Amino acid sequence: MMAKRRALWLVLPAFLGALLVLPAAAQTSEPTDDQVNAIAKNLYCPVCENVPLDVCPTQACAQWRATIRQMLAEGRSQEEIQQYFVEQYGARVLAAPRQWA
Amino acid sequence: MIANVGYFSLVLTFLVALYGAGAAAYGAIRSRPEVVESARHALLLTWPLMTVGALSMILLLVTGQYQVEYVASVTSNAMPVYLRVTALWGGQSGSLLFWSWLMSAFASAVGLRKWARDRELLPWVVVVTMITLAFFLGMVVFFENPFVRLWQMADGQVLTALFQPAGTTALVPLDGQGLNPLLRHPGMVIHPPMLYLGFVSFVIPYAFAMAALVTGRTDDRWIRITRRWTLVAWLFLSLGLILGGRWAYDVLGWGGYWGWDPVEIAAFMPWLSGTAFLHSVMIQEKRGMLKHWNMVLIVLTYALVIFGTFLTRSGILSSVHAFSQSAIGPLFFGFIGLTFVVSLALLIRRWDDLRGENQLGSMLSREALFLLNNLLFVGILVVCFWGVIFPLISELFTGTKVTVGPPFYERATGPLWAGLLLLMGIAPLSAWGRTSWKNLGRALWLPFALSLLVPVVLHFRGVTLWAALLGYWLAAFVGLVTLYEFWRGALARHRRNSESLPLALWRLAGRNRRRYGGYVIHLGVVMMALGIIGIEMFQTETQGTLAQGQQLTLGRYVMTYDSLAQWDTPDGRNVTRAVVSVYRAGRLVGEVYPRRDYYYASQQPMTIPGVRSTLEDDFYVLLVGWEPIAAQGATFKLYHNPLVNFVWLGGLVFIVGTLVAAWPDREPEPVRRKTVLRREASATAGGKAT
Repeated sequence: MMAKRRALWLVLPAFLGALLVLPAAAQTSEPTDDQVNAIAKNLYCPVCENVPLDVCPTQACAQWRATIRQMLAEGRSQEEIQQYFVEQYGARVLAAPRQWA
Repeated sequence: MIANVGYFSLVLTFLVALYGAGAAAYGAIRSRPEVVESARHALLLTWPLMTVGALSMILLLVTGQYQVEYVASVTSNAMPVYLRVTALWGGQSGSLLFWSWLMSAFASAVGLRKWARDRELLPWVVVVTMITLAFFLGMVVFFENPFVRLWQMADGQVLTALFQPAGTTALVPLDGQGLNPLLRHPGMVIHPPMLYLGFVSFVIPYAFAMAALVTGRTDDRWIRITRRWTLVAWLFLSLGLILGGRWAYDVLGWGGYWGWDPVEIAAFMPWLSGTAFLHSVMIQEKRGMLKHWNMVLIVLTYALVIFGTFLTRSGILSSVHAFSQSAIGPLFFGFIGLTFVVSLALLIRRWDDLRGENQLGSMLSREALFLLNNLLFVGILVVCFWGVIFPLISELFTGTKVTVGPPFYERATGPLWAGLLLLMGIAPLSAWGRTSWKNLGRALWLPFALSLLVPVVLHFRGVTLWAALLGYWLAAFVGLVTLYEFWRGALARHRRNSESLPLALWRLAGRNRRRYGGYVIHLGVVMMALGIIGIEMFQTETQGTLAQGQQLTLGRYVMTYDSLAQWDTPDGRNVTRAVVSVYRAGRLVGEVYPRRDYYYASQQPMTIPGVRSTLEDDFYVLLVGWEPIAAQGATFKLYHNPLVNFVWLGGLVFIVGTLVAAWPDREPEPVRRKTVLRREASATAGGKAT
């Protein structure tokens, strides 16, 4: 009985760890432009007012998209990426204030 | 020299406008007709004087007098003449000058009316229009003078002043910076004047409304006089908005035409309140009700017209702090506040005189449905207003800037638009006064039943989005009701007067142009709704980087990247243009040429789409990027925009309908008003015989 329980304690962290790693592993392939744009569509850079990031032609916005691509490649979720940009540049990068969502 | 003449004429107009306002008020209060007459002359004088000012500016722009700061900032040697002329509204001070010019033209047009007819109202109309003109001119003359010149001090510092400051020499740049590339598009050439014309002509109904309040003439005379002004204002605003959308679709390169940008909304808000006003004045004319409400709406429209100019001209949108630094921002703010308070004070003073002559009889009567329509329009207005000012409030009170983008507006206004469509289907069939469920049901069941076929058929063809099904059902319903109205009216004439059906239709619309023009507008809205639902709910997109000869697929479309070329143009652009073949369902249907223009002087890139356009859909290709060395790889973004051309076609129908409704009558308007009224009332009762 005791041994069984101890085994469980050994298996469980391994299992949880796998859960954390697996989604990342599943996305090791290069993210497509469409995946990048799906996230960029809901972001606005502070310079190009009212132009969504997915269609903004400026150099700065191209760099933001590259950042999104890289974070996607690292397996980060949409929320995490949005959170990253909010922390870096403020709430105005979101298409609408958070509380309204 | 020309700059001095221009500036002098502006100062003169400013003084004349102030005199006109003062003299008109004095003459009206003291009952001195000769003073009022003098004020009218002042009013008539403003337009020729303003024309001298505006033409001086145009002359400076066309001849490239770069020592004038404004000319240097919006024109350059490479620009063709027509663009130099349009540069008049390409910058801040020039557009304020242009605004004032149009204002003086409309005010003078009022001055040319038969003056004897509305003797008591007109002096106050002069007061309101001249104060508005003086306000805008005051800003031009004192704060945003487009005629200031560039001067260089001995230490190289550059000053701007109208007259030469001591110890400076004139600075004459060899070339100007040129117009913002975004504005170098035919759509952008016509779009601002249209909006301004719309803005300015809404001042006239407001002026008559205020005159009615001041003099206590609280019948519907002011509405009848300004009916056409309102329609013309609305026509120009609608045209401006549609052209603006088309421009965005063609030039901004993001696959859409309306981005809920604060600048767009600034022009949209007066349109919303103006549309509500257009509907609700009918209730006052037919039933003598909602007099307070109409006053509120026209005051609101005027305030929003000024607010719209304020939003786009004061720099407040980029930051609250830019606003407090700009000289004209706080002035605008003060002027809006002042006129709003004065207007409301006048309204409250006359509150008891404006009581309705009738009560709301039934919730299904046409007036009740119109009231509901008004509430929905005002609802959309409130959403827009809140969305525009929330970022400002947030910045002011919490210091953090936020963005309020399309998702908010779409979610908040979507149901309201659907409600408006529904009303558009029901209201034309309900009667003034009293309508019972039974009567309404009898008129409605046939178009209602037929319209249900549309979502059913769509559902079987694979459309499962309930919002789209609802939208298309509503559009079908409104379309059928409206066509049914034409059919019933024409058939009645055909039977009664044995006219041929087309002739009956023509005469029907000709005899009651306001009503049938309105229906044509409704048909235009239905068509636009088809397109808007199409692009809003069924737009698809993809993006990919291709080597030459490679393909990218989006739905039934396939594009092949054929080649890429890059060259400099004489007007200071670097053009990168791709050649793309478009296949639909496996068959070659044409080539498109998406390109990226880079303007050296302003260092701005512009993404011009290549579009393959049919009634069914648009295949919209953007050139997003390319490898700098040779034409190895290029990135394309593709949009599939179903039904989007119905937006433009619907816009055209919409404008035609407005023209039908606004076209001047042949017979003089005021005679036999009572009988006309009675006939119209009986004609619309039950929506039956016409």
